[in-house]
Amino acid sequence: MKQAKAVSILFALIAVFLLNATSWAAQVSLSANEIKAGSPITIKGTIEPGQDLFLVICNEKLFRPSDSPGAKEKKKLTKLFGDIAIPPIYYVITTAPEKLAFPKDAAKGQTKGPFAFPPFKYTVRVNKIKPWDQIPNDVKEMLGPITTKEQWDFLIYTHEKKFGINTITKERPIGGGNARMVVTDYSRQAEAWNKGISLTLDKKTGAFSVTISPYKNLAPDTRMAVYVNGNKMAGFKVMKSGYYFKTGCTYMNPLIVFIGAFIIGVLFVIMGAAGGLFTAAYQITVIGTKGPVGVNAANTIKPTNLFLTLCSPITGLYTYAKEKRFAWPLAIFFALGILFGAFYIGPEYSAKYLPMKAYKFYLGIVCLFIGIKLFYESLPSSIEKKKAMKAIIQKFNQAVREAKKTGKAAELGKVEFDKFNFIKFNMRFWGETFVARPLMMLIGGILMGAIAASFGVGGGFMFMPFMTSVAGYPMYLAVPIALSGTFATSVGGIAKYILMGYSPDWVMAACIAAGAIGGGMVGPKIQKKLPEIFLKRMLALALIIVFMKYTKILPFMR
Amino acid sequence: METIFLVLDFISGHIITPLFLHLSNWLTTLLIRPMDFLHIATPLQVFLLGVLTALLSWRLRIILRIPEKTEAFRRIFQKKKHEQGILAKGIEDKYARDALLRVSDEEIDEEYNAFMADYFSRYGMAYLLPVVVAMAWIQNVFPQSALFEKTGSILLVDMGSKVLGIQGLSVAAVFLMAYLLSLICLFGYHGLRKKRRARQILKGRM
Repeated sequence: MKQAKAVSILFALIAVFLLNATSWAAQVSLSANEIKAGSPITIKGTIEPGQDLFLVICNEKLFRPSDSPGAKEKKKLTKLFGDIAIPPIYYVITTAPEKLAFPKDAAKGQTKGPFAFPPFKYTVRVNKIKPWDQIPNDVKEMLGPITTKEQWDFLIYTHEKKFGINTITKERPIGGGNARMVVTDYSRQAEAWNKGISLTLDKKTGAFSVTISPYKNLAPDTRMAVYVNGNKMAGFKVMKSGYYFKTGCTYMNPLIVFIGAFIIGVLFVIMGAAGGLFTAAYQITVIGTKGPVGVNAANTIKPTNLFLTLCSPITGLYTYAKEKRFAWPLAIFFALGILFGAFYIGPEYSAKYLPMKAYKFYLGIVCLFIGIKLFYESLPSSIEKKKAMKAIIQKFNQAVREAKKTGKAAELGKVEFDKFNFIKFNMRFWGETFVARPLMMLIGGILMGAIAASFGVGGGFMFMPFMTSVAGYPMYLAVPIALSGTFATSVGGIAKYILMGYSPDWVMAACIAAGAIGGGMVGPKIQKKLPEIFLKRMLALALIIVFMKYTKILPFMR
Repeated sequence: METIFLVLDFISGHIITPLFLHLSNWLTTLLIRPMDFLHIATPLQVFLLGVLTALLSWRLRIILRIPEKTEAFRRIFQKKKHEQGILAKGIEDKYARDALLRVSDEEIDEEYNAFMADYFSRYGMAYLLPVVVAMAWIQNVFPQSALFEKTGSILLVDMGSKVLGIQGLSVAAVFLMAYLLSLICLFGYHGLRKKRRARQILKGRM
């Protein structure tokens, strides 16, 4: 009898347990099974009453360092994290964010290096993710596909380090701090990273509702998983939201890319240089090129940009060679130096040491210099100087006409060389004698080629001042040599970047090229009708704003 | 602003993208399928596409009258330079001559900048656009995922071990090499023909 009673009690307990277990099992419903990239999704359901909610939304497909298409990224990430797999996008929406992270002020910007001082180094509010050891054991079981310390460490890296963010997570940090990972309702924790997150939980019934907009540049057909308190409960698919650039990994209307590039083309005509810099800034700021997961954003921007700088010199060189206007001993040494720098030094070190954060910063510095130069050129004193000189020309034009009438016209000169010397020799060009220094050209070429390829630009903004100011050559001599330099940068840089696994976004390159070509055609026709001084000043201002934005010297730009 | 974006989205989504998709399908039917049918290896297919693109660029170069335009600029440049030389000869004072040369250099620079912009447009249309558009199409025809499924590597020519620091050649590398080699051959052949013609004219005169 006693045995029968015990058995019935046991059955009753099992029944009660099963009943409770059924009622505690979390239930989930999604507002949609497919959402457009950047659109919000609402997840409703119930969890065990009294518990905190840990809702994880992440990619179904995990990323391993060995999946990196970029050689440098693969090497770096494999060295740091081995073969650990994590979802590139990973959000924990929770009612207890303090168990996983805590808000704090952290130093960001240039925290090391020659610019590690205010305002380049600044303090921002970040959501500091706790180390694995400090997370309660019961919470560790609620984190979906993340089950080990190694995975958690990798996630911290991809959400707190700029290299990790720009290489894997890709989502821009809100407020200049860390990328979103541990979030909660904004009214519960009024911090920048919680903006747009809605979370309600009735602890008595366990009913919850979560609304979040996942990363806006998720690729079309990306499958996302939803975990509720550790259990995989549902999933949804991300649908495209406009045109998706497959390698640039960003949504953008190609027409906007074209129009922007058209404007750059027109500006290029007015400025006569720095087209590569403008295109780079355009790709970063307006188009928002991100690059594939596993490739740092900068390593997609640089080859795309270099490809666009290749076109302008490619056959100009042929014409100059045909006209015998090449000071070939100089051009060869300069181009060889640049080729060496652009192939062996620039991309190699740029991919490693110039990821997006540093790339933007130094690009900003370059923009500042060019902005100041443009502004200087638009000053009344500079313009007056130019006008005065033009008056002298007018005066002597009369003399030319007379010279022609009397038949005193001189024959056109050609480039002529004395005995070649690697250090220094005399060279005659269009009737004038110059000192040529091949070794200096070679060394200068190596340095400038490395810098230009590192930034993914042609380098014309460096070559011309070097030729005219440092080497002291006239423009007619300098231009063909500089052109050979731009060509060498593009060829060396592109070849190396492609061999390293960094591919340009060809569709984006096509849109930018088409726009720039259109702008280049229209520019010369409307140039005379445009208010040049005003435009130069506006451009200078735009470049200085780019400098401020990229170096983040103003708090509201961070 | 919202309306402008809507219009742009409409044009892009309903006109431009479908147009390019059709063009892509048409090119695939015309070029890739016959090559597949002939069992031509993928690297050779990409190489041949590079050659075809180079031929297209060469044709565009003639249509856009690039050599004539370049010749016209060369004449303007020489004229200006010639005038500059005469002007400089007429000034005895070294500083005044330097100043004049500098300013006239600037004037010619402006001319040169305008020419370069036009140059960029013409050469861009002849060379850059065909390359980037062809590459955009080729990367859709031979995506890395398909290459990986087919050969177990995302590279078109996988050398296995690193040779001179290179693991292999990607689709882009093979295509660009084929394109550049073909252009070099075309320019070389063109140059030879011109020389031969010049020689024949000389012989005729003699």
